[in-house]
Amino acid sequence: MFEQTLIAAVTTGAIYAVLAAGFSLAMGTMSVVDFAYGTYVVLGALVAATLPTMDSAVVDVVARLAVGLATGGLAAAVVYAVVLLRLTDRGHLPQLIATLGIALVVQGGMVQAFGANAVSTKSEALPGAFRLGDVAVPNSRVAAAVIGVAIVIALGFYLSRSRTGKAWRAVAANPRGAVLSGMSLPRLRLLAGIASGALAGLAGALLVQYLPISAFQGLEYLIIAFFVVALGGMRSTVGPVLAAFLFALVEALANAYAPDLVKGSAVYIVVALSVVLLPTGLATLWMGKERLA
Amino acid sequence: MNDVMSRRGFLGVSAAAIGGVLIGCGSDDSGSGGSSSGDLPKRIKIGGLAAVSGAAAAFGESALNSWRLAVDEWNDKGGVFGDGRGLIDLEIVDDRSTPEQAVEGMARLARDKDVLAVMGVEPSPATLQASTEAERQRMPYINVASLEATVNTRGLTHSISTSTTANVFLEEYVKGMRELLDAQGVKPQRVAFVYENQIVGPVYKRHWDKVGAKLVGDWNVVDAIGYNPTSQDLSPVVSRLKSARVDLPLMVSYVQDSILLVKAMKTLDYVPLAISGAAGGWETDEFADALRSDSNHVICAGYYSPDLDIEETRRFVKAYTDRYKTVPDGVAASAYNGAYALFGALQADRVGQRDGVLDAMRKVNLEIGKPGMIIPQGVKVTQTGANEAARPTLFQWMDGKKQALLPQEYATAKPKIPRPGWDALT
Repeated sequence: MFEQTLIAAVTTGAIYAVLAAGFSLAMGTMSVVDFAYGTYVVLGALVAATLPTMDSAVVDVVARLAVGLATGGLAAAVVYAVVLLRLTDRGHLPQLIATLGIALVVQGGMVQAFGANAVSTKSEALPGAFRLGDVAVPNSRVAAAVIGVAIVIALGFYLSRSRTGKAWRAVAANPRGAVLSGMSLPRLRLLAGIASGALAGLAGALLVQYLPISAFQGLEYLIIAFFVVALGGMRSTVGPVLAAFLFALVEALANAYAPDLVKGSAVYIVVALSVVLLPTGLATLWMGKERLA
Repeated sequence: MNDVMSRRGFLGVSAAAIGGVLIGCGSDDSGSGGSSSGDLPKRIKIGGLAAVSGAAAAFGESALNSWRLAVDEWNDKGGVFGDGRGLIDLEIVDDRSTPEQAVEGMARLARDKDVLAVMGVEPSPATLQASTEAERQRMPYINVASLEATVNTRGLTHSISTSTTANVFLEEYVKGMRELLDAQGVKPQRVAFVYENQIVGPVYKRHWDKVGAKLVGDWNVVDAIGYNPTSQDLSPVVSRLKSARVDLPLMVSYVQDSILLVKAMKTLDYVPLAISGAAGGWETDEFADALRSDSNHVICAGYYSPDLDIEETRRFVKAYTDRYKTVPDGVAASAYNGAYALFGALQADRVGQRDGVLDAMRKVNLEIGKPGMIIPQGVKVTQTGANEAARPTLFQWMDGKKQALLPQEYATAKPKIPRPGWDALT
């Protein structure tokens, strides 16, 4: 059971890493709290699930991921362009209220469009399982985890090597300085918002490959993303990714071994403790408080 | 002289006015539920409290469909009292799947003096709150679907349940599995109770702790495994079952977790004697849709099965399917059952006002197969307001359809125990 639990943690952690990366991009670049984030995840999942099944497994998976990414990105584009860009300098409370309201409205729309029931893909693109001794993992989960890790690595490269990525990091570090050096803050923020939503939609499309998703689960994924980023460090890009695996590990171990009383809450207790001990997140361990403050 | 005349005149006018008011009240034919005794109103208003929006909206929709069908059937027959009297108006209030809104909804319906009674379909926490508010408002509350046992054990006098309770559900589920395995001459060597530990699982677990050993008899129970239903991967739970060589897991799960459990069983090639479950997840269409052929031979304890060999059930299923183009689920059946119990009680006792509803409901003793009684074994209301007749149905999934297994007298299929291996299902 222990090995199975570890494997479950790794595959789940990879998806959590994608969730956290998107949320962290918005928080880090724009210091924006987007409580509609979970909605982009679910919207991406539901739209991806309703695609007809393709003959080729690879085409099927790629198409669903592309649709999930596009759906999340488009939803975020609308939210940011219409609402959030006007609130970036107004503090977190107006952002929270506005995006929560949007999340509820979109949730209602999803229920109308997709129904109240959980939705699954019509068939499994990658049936079967990867086996190693007594441990087995569905191929769809393995694929989702591999793709998730690849996305996170690719994002890391993009942030460190591309012009836009560097600009985002500059904005996150010093928005005023970025403006003074000629960067267009609104354009960069909108792009970051869209990228954040796209990552959320992509995470949703990865999840729905093996998990039924309902319109009401937006809050669940928002909480996961939020707590993982809090655990990893809101001003770090690597911290949340590592925190995602740690979060998934604690969650899986608690589910397997902890008493009923704390099975569901153990991971949040751990996050709360870590925030007390390391207020700037796990990234403090290698980056230092000063760089993250 | 003028003072005496004016005093007499005043008294005379007052007497005439009072008499006129009394006569006016006595001849009210506007359909008020609060009309004086002896008058049967032309129209009666029944409240319906259900989730039109929110997480439980799927259940709410099923219930509303059934209530509307039941109301139309009774109105087409001439109303509750016949000859165009007691035509039913349904007043629906959305509880938005939350206890707070259920309380607010109950209070709103209670303020409308025309509402005779409120039927409710809520998740258990909302049912408890709604029943408490019903007591406060002195409003007859008919719980048609929640399995929450404490609705009728807290001494509340205004709540009647036409559904069974979680405790009975669990007992009949385990007894039913025992019956099915005994019939096949199969005895499990190691049994485990597996339950989600957040929603209704804890209720079942508490009752399992009390009566589980007695229910299973000489079966060897080796473990009780709780898990977090929001977990994204339940393969460790199945791994634990496999390691412990459990050959009969008895499971209580909701939708997503029941699907994940079966998927993990297939992934880990875990083939117990039977895969079975009780509570919300196992009997839903989502379960069968998500698992497709992997759901075949899974045995579930649910409110009912649409193929129960009961004429009245077949009639209901046809009427519902023709009207809504979908097969009614367990909540729909339970809501229909409850509505008919209420309307039948009002008819039997000729009750056209709120005051008489509870007494009428406590007399209800309708067997399965009577009009509207589509769920085993009918409705028989006790003094505490519980339905002592109701029993869950055990059915199995086969190619996306339910096949009734128990009660034996209404069964349409036999289970395959031991269940086939995973490769044989495709």
